[in-house]
Amino acid sequence: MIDAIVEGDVLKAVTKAMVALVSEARFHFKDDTLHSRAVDPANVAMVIVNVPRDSFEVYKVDEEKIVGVDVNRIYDISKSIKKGELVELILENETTLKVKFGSVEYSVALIDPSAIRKEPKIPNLELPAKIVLDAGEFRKAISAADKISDHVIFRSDETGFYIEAEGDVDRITFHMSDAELIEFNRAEAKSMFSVEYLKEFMKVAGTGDILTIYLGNNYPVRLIFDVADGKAKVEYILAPRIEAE
Amino acid sequence: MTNEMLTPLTFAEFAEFCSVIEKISSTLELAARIASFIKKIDSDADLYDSVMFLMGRVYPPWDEREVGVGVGLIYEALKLATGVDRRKIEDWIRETGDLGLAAERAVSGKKQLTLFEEELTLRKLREVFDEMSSLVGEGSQKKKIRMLADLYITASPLEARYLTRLILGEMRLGVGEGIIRDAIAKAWGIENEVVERAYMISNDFGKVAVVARNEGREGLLKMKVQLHIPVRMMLAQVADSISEAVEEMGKVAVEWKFDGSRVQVHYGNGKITIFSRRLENVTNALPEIVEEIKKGVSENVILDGEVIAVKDGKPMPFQHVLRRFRRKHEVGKMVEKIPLEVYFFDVLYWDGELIDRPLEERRKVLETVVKEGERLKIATQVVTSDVSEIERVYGDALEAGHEGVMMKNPFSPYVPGKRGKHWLKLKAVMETLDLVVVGGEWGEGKRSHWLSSFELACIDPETGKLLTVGKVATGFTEDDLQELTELFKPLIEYQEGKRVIFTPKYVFEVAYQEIQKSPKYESGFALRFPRYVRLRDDKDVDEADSIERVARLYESQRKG
Repeated sequence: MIDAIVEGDVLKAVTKAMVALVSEARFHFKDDTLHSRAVDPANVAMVIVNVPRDSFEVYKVDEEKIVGVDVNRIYDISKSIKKGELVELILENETTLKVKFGSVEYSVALIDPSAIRKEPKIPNLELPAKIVLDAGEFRKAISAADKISDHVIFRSDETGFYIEAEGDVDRITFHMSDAELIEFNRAEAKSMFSVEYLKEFMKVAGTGDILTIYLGNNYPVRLIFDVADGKAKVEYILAPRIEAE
Repeated sequence: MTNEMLTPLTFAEFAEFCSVIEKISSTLELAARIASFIKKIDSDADLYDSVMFLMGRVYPPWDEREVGVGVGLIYEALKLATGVDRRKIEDWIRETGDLGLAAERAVSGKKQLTLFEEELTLRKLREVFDEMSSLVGEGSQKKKIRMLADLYITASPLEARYLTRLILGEMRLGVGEGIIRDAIAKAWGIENEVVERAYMISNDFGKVAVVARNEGREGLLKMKVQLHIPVRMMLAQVADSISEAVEEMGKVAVEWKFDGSRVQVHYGNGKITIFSRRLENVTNALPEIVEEIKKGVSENVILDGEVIAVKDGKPMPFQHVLRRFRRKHEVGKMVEKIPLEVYFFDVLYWDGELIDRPLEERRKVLETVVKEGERLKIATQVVTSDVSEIERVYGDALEAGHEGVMMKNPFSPYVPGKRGKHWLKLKAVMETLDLVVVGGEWGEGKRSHWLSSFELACIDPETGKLLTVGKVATGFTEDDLQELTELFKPLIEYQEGKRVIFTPKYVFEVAYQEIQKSPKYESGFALRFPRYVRLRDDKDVDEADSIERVARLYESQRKG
């Protein structure tokens, strides 16, 4: 038996983060966290979601459990939760998850977890640059880049952090200096990424949310968002594109 | 042993094999190589998929599922996966003549890396195709593009070549049905004829291969005609004269040759399925025929017949019937506009298989299981050895607006898919050719939005290769051109100036004045004054006229 009560925004943020990459996922109700991770069908990106026990109003997990969830379905349901409203998740058997908020109770059929692609291990990445900034600023840069190109370059050196995109005729440079960044280690790094993926990831971030970026050289990037007032952590790992020769 | 325990066949191994046999032109060697390849495959599922994929098929033709990915979606998926845009890919197609090779090149410059290496397997591809074919409605195109892009991201360049060709249904391996049949026969030491028969009644080489491997010759022989799975239709040879037929058969069963479209009706388990000559499921397009069958036909039967369009007691041209077959929306309206009747002339199954029984016996069964109605008839049959009697029937048929007569051996079995001497046809009109449309040209001036000329090819049945024989630009009405333009637009693989290349799918019936030798076309022949007669969309590409037939007609006009 599992019984958990949490702010609706948390459930919304977590499922929204997953649907950017997959339609089904395995959720682990662990003793200390609700955890889920998944990789898109092309193995280009991974999403990792963690909601610590402390973020819940109630978190009663008799026994650790893995459940298979149609994340599109739960995300759809969570869209109708009002701001600030609490939602209760109840798992009494293997086949149904109850989602209660306000005066409604949804019974959502679960998916056999073994029928869902098993999540790969989180890759061990050594990434020199660490950049912390307002997710809202990052979001603006990505949507501007999306208008002119299908890829962007993330670059950092001692002068700051850059996001650059080049179209047929236009060019966009987004630059934040050390002073404008929340935290920055001034390390040198540069990699290129697909806007197609980034713009999906951006949907989880609101202005005021904090984003931590770990960047390497022609290497995957880690984007860690603190969402729902810091109650949940959403991390994306995205494989780079390489320059055409 | 369950399939999970066996080594799955990777798409890399499959693509590698394809690239080897693509260079082989000897049909014997092709069959031998394929035999040893399929013999080594572990699981039933991989064997099934390999055989189908080698022929460029995902599903058997009668299966209603289709992946539903055209050239446009491939361009978009490649753009997503590789960043190479349509213009560039079109340039590469011009260079190489093949979207598969262009995709290979796009993927070899692939810029998107992945977090993990994952091998594509045939099993995985099958899952993706099944999911794609189940997608409908809003957003399904977008989802298909995403799924296809994901495959291209995972694929190696060589895999991308064959993945693209597989989706287009054109592997360019020179592997036709004949070679697959021989390969299955060779792999498990079974006679070609036994494999052929199993194929003709199941129309599924994947299944034939699995049965051949697991149950051998006996298993294939035990395969029977099944309700709701179409059987290849028995075909007729052209007769030179009535007296020739009488000489050949002695007693002749004579029927009208209707100017309509062939259908095979399956009625059983409370369900009616109607297949066209191409073995496509056309049930939904023929609601009034379905109703009549429910009223007048006994259950558990498979019937062979011809659907004709009749207005005011007169048959309408065959073209109208095909218009009905193609109809997917507002079928009701067409039921009034083009009223149909069905004439049954054979029965293949009645509570069990009948195809090995003689025609005269099947005819008796036919008369038992079909009760005639307003739109439901049994074709009149006269059994005689009197030439003048047959001439009279022939005259009546032409008088009534039909094509001529069928002359059948009353003692012959029903031989699926065979164009043999048991059935002979005599037609009043001159010989025409059924040719595959492989390319075309946009018109000039006010016709510039229409395709106005079409490049035609005959087929080499062994290898499945298409060999051009000329272009047709006359015989079309404006309505024809408009309709054909709509039909061919989605098949455009690429365009250069006014010239376009199509994915081969449709067959034209074409008349001509003469066949000439010509180095200009791949077949070595050219048509003088070709004229469009009609679209034969009851015929598949592999049923088009062969290079041998073109050569034979060329020889016969020299003699004449």
